[in-house]
Amino acid sequence: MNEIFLSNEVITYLLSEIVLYILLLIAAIATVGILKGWNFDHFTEKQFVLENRSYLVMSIIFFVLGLKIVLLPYFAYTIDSLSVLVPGAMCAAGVIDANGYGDPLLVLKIMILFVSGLWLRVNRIDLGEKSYPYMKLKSWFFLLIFILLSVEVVLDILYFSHIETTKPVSCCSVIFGELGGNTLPFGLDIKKLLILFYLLYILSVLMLHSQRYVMRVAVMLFFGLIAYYSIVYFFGTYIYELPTHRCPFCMLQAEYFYVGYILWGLLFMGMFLAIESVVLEGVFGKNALKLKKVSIGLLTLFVLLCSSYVGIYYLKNGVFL
Amino acid sequence: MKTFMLNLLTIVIVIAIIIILLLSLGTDQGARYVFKGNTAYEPIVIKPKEYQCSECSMDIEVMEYNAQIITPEGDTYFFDDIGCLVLWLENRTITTQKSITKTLDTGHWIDVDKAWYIRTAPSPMGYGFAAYENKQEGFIPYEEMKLLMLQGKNLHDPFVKKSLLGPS
Repeated sequence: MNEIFLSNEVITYLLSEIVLYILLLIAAIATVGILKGWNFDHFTEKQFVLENRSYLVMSIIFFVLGLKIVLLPYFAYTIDSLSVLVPGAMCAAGVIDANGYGDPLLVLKIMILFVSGLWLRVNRIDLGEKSYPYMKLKSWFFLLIFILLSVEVVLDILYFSHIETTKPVSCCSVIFGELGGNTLPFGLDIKKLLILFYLLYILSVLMLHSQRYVMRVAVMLFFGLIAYYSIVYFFGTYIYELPTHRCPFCMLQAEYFYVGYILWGLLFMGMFLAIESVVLEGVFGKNALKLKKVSIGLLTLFVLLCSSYVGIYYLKNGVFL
Repeated sequence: MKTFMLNLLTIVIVIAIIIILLLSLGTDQGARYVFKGNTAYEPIVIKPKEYQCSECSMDIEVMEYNAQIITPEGDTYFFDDIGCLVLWLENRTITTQKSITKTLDTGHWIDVDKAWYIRTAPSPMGYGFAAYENKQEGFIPYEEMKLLMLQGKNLHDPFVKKSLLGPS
C-alpha cells in the first residue's frame, strides 16, 4: 500500500471528501427526481412532497458545499504536510508537481470553490422568495457542480495514489526558481508586472463602482492572474526575505506565520465577492452594495499586506531585495 | 462630475495597461530568447523549438549548428547558425563571458574562436559556415569566417556560391 495513504492528514482529507461526495450523490439523485416532477403551481400531494424533499436536499447541498469551501485550505495543508514524505519536496509545490494530476486538481478545486459560492448565493436568493422561482435554475446548476465534484473525487484518488515516496521530485526553487527563461506572462519584467498589479487594483475598485459587469469580471480575473505572478515572483521574495526563493506554497508554512492562507484567502474572497456582485446585480437585479464594499475592503487589505512586506523589509534593512 | 472623473480615470488606466502589455509583448527578452541564471557558464541543452534564435527569431530546430553566447550575469542567448551569432555580436555592445558552438565532427561544445569553419555546409540560415573541432584542408579560423560573414561573402552571394560549389 502506498505510504501516502498512511498519513493522518490524507486519511482525514480523503474520508471527508468521500463522505461528502456520498451525501452529494444522494442529493443529486433526489434533485433529478425533483426536476422531473416540480411545478409550484400544482397543489398536489406529489408537489407538496417534492417541496419538502427539496428543502431537505438543498439543506444537504448547502451544508456540503459550505464544508467543501473549508476543505480547500485543508487540502493545501495536507499536501504541504506530505513534503516530509516525498523526497526532494520542500513544500507543497514539489508534492503537487509529483504527478500529472496535481495541477489540474488544484485548478479544479479553485473553480469548484467559486461555483459553489455562487450556488450558495442563488440558493439564498431563492429561499428568500415566496414561490421558489429559481428552484429549477439552482437544481440544474447543482447538477453541473456535481459533475465537477465527481471529476474532483476521481482526481483526488488518482493524485494521492500516484504520489511515489521513492521517486525524487523538484523543490520549489527549481519549479519557480531563477533558472530557465522568463516565466512571467506577456513578456513582462518585474517592474512592469508591479505597475500592472497596482493599476489593476485601482481599476478593480473603479469597476466595483461602475455598472460594466462584463468588464468587472474580466478585470477581476486579470487582476487574479497578475496578482498570482506578483506574489510568486516579487512579494513572496520579501515574505521569505530571500531574492531567489519564489514559491506560492512555502508561505503556508509555520515559519512564515501561515501568512499564505491569509494572503490567498483575501485575494480569492475579494475576487469571488466581486464576481458574485455581478451575478447579483446583473442576473438577479438585486442590490449588491454590501458585497462590493466587502470585496473592496478585502482586495485593499490584500494589496496593503503584500506591500507592507516590501515596506517593512526596506525600513529594517535600508535596501530592496 | 464625479461619474465623469471616474470614467476618465478608468479610460486612462485601461490605456496605461494596454501600453504596458504592448511594450512587454514587443520586447526581445521574451520567454523563448534568453535562458537566465546560467552562472556555471556551461552550454545549455535545449530541445528543438524550445528557444528562438536571438538574431533571426527562427525556432531552433537543427541542433548540430547551435551556438550560444553566455554573459557574465548568466544570460544565455541561442543562435541557430554561427552566421547569426556573428551578426548579432556586430550589432551590439555586449560583454560576453563565453561564446560557444557545437562542432559537426565531434559534437562537442567549444569556444567559437577555437573552432575551424567549413564554408559549404547546409547550415539552417544557408550562410554555409559550420564549426569543426579538428582542422581539415580548406577550413578557416573564426576571425576569417567572421570577416567573410560581415562582408556578405557567404553562400547567400551567388558568385561566392558558384565559386565554392560550382555551377548549379
